[in-house]
Amino acid sequence: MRSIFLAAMLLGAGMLAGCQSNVPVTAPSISPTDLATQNKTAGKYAVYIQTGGWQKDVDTDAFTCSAWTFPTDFENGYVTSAQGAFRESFQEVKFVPGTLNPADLAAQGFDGQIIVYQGAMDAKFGITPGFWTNTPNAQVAFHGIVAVVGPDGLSGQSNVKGEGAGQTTGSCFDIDDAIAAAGTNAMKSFIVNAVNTSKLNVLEMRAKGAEQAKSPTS
Amino acid sequence: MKWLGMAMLGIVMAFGVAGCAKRPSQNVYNYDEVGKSSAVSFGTVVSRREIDITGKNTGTGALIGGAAGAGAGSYIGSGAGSYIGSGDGTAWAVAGGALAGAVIGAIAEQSAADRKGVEYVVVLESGVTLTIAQDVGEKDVLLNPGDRVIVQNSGGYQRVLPAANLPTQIERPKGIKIIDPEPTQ
Repeated sequence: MRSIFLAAMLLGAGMLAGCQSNVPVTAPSISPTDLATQNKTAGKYAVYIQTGGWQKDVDTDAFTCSAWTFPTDFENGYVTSAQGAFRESFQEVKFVPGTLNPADLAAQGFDGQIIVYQGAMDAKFGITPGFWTNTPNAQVAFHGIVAVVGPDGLSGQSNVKGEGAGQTTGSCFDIDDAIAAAGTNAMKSFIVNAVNTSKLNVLEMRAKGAEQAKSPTS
Repeated sequence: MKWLGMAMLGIVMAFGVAGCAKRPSQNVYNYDEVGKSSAVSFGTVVSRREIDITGKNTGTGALIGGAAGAGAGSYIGSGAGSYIGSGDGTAWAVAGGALAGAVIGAIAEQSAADRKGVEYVVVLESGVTLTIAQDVGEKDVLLNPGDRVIVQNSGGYQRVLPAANLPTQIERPKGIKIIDPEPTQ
């Protein structure tokens, strides 16, 4: 009886000590076939990818594992993966640390600037109880804005979203794997959508520019 | 009757405390934001308006209210059971009390969570236009159209902060240059 009590105490102490765990999110791997088109868009573009907004302590609204918190840096590898995807999609890109005004863009020989702003993010986890095993699961969503600035200023802005889910088998101790998988999937989805949206906005800007060039000037 | 009073007082106190919970605002940061850098963008406020924010109803109000109502119902039922139903009316009184308490609790929680806020329309330096709804804290500065602001993204929470006090130009921060000692011969 005493040993059972001791074991329960140890388990309880272990649960409390393990209430916080850092989650290692791996960088998403994006291949050209993940993108809407494999053709590179012509032109030279300055690309600004905002960072620093997606670090979060993930917890749950539910009762199970409610004492657990998972500090997560979802941006691990975000910039590298996004840069790779932009390089695959545009003829020439240069990554810049901030936004440029149209005059600077022209002076530096850019056809335009692509900006990927970070927006809201949601991340949560839960446990689905099973007959023999429990299934920790997590959902992550990133929201952002893609803007394209051309020679005449802002050409277009669009909302972009990336969602991902992950699950594993086990207990509260195993939730970090589910969060990491959900984070990687959501990041991949966000980057793919951001690149596809950028391409669309750039093509619109170029079409508008070509139309203006064709129209007679008074 | 003492029971009923206690139950109602419990509900009111629970939501009084819940209503005092601090929400992120200009001057209030969550514990998980501390020690982490955030992404910022500069912009200008183009409009501001007051908004109503619907608070999150967790169901705790209904739960507490239901329990308190059941307790009160049990007290009433045991005392007045002789005329609530035929014979023992305690069960009916408990059920009725739980239902009434749950409804009152849910309404109390919702009204404690509902609040006023502001919505800003901000144009960023790139020309991108955003609308951002914000809770307003006690010491927050309400921003006016034309005000220079920074939009901070901290763990997905976007905070509109005054930036009128920030310079528009600074000298490049100096690092520390390391000079190796001249080799002695």
